Amino acid sequence: MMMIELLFQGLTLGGLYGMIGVGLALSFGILRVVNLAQGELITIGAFLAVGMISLFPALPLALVLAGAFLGCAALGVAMQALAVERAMAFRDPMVAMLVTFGLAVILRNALVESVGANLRGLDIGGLGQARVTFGGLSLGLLPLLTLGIALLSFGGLALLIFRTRFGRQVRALSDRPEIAELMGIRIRRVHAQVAALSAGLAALAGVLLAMRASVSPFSGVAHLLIAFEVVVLGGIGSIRGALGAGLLLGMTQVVSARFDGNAGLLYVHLVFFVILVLRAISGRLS
Amino acid sequence: MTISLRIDSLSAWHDQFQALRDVSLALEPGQSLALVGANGAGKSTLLRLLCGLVPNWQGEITLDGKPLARGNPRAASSAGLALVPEGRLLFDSLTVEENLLVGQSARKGPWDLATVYTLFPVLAERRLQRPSTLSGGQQQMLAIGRALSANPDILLCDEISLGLSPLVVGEVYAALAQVRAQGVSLVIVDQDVSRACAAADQVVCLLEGRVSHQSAAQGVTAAALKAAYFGVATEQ
Amino acid sequence: MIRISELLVLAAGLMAAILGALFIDSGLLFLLCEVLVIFLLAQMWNLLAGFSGQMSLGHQAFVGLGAYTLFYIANHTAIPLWLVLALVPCLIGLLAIPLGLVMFHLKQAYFAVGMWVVAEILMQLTAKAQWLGGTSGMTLRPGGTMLSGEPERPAFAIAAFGAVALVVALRVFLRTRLGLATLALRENEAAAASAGVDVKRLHLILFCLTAAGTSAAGGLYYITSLYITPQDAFQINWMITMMFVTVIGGLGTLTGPALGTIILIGAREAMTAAGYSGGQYWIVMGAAAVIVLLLAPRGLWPALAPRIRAAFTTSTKSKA
Ligand SMILES: Nc1ncnc2c1ncn2[C@@H]1O[C@H](COP(=O)(O)OP(=O)(O)OP(=O)(O)O)[C@@H](O)[C@H]1O
Ligand SMILES: [Mg+2]
Repeated sequence: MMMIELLFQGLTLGGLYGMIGVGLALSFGILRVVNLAQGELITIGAFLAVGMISLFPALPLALVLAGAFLGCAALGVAMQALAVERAMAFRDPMVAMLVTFGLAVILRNALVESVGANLRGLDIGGLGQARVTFGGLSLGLLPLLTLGIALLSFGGLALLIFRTRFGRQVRALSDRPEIAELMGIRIRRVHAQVAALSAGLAALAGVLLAMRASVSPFSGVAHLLIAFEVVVLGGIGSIRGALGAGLLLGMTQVVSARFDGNAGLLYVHLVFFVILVLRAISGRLS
Repeated sequence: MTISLRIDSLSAWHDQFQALRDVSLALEPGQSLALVGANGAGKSTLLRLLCGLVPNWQGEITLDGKPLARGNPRAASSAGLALVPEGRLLFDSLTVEENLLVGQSARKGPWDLATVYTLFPVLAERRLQRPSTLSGGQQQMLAIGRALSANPDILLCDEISLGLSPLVVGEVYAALAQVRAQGVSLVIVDQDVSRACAAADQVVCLLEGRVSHQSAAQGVTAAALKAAYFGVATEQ
Repeated sequence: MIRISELLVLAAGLMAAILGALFIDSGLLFLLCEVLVIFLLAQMWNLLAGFSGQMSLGHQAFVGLGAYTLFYIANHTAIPLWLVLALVPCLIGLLAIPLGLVMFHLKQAYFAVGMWVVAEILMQLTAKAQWLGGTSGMTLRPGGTMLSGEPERPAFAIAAFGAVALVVALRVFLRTRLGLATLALRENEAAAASAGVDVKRLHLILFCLTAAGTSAAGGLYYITSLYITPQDAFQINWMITMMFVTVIGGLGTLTGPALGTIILIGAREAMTAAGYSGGQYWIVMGAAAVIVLLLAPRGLWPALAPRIRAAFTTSTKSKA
């Protein structure tokens, strides 16, 4: 019974980790810039939700999610258009990455200045305790909901990328930017749309993470590193890879927390590092 | 609709390196051009420049009297230019059909999925495959189909028969003849001079970035262009 | 090889370091020590990112490793503190070899963030290590007794001379065959490789050198503060400082980090005096870094130096 509960928790968390990884991979795959502010966007998404619920305690979860998505998407577009896009014009790719690092520092400290440095939880009323029973198996409603939303996001993203005109343009741009422009694709606009989508996904994951455990304005770094690990382990272009890597890391965290209560993300990072060493030894990973 | 193309004293640079020097040529509406020359002569540079992919140039380029925007691929595309690039450069994350769809633009014209598939029936059979699974000839057809999907007035074809078997080259040229019959101007770059000339009205030969020969294309062969092609004085 | 002028600079640096250590008042010395440590750290990061083109976001790991190694050896052996400080960079430099061999399998952005993960792992392992004091950290007690005297005086002397010596050493290094190879690497990695530079080996050497230098500077800093915790020694603010100093001052130049250090510390002291919070200071510095990157991606010094030189030559000409 305990085993199943543990597995289920790992699955939920893994779904969320996959989601934050996929947001980072999306922008990296298309823009060719590792957005070091991604962790901050996740955290800001969570705090937007905290703010909305404290203002309107009766706001339905769907609206909270939508609000956080839109807020972060707007922020993502603004950062892309005002700073990152300009930095991408320089030949050295390091410049754009350094710019996103600068933005991350600005966002993190702006968040601390505006909401204080304390841990915050997302007050979701009775939802946190509610449970549902399937044939003798009792599962928390909240983790079930979280998992559902994560899977929906994955599915929605896959549909968007593989079934729509926008997705076609995104894939064409990521394959061959120069030829894509020749096909009349508006590169800057697609970049901005991708930045919005990626930031929006970050916000959704941020809200769901905050419902699970409290967040602080300093959580961004941890979120960024997990997203990065998911991308490295799962591969950039692969939504399925991200989900798999997310599950591995989520399971690791849930299981390690059971044995060592205050380990934080230590074992998650260690698993990542060990895989890295193994890959280095066997010479894979180009 | 067909348009004319005029190029006057065009020079172009890749960083410090000057790839085109004082190139002038004119293409009347509906006319086709064979553009030949040795490796590194500047043929690809000229085609890519017309499409907005080489921003660093001087001179004058007009399409139907309207000046061409510099380094703006989108503007070139809406002005009626489309490129079949050297090496095809297909989108490998897209299926065959998606490659054609991405090629479509706001321009009106005869080319849509159905007419491209009529021109290249094999693409219809493979419409859900990835370009990397196609043969070289099929990839070249897809590249042509993708460019046609924009309904261009002038189709720029770079190294059209590179790496293809003679049989397939024949098929590709047969398709180009049909495209030309629709009123699309062709600019064909090919190492096979006679073949390119047979498909064109006019031939221009480049040598180290300059125009070294310009004439009607009818019956011109590689042997006739030897001096213009290699730059050796062949006095008899 | 080393030029006479550079020897003179070294001698002057030594004099200044000793005189400063003897006569400057203790409060100011603490600040100067910090300034010099930040300069040293930034110069190390600059050597890796600006010269060899390998950006690391995890060099705070070496600050923490250096400081903890120093505290541990000093506290548990009879080796004199200042000798330990000399040992630390050797140990950390060696440790960096296997780490570099693993991390270099990650390229560019992956390498940068991968190093950050390493720093996080080290921070959390240190926090778990009870023999290192766990989360509550350690106090410096060389040989088991409290440090007597004023450690900031020798620390300042070492840091000041170290800063001068580092700049001279880097100038000399950039003239050697390996140094020229490093410069070639910065311009164009592929070209450098085809010109016979062993890129991988050079990257590893620079990685280890900067790890060693960073650990020494970290050790020196924590000698003056006498107390260390994992949260402090491995904090990402070290990284942010190194990066902002270098990026604002000038990536890939020797003068840039000096200019950047002055700007960052100057702004911090001014903003603190004017009552602004730490968060506000970081927002301003973040904005400054982003703006400099967008307007002059190689930093202020490379952008300003030609103008300063031009102004200088015209003014001397007009005088003449
Ligand atoms: N992106 C570039 N950067 C620098 N030089 C370039 C670039 N592209 C082409 N060149 C140079 O410009 C010259 C002309 O090249 P171009 O590709 O136009 O020749 P080409 O006639 O198409 O030759 P080929 O038959 O080999 O395709 C060559 O010397 C080439 O090295
Ligand atoms: Mg060519």
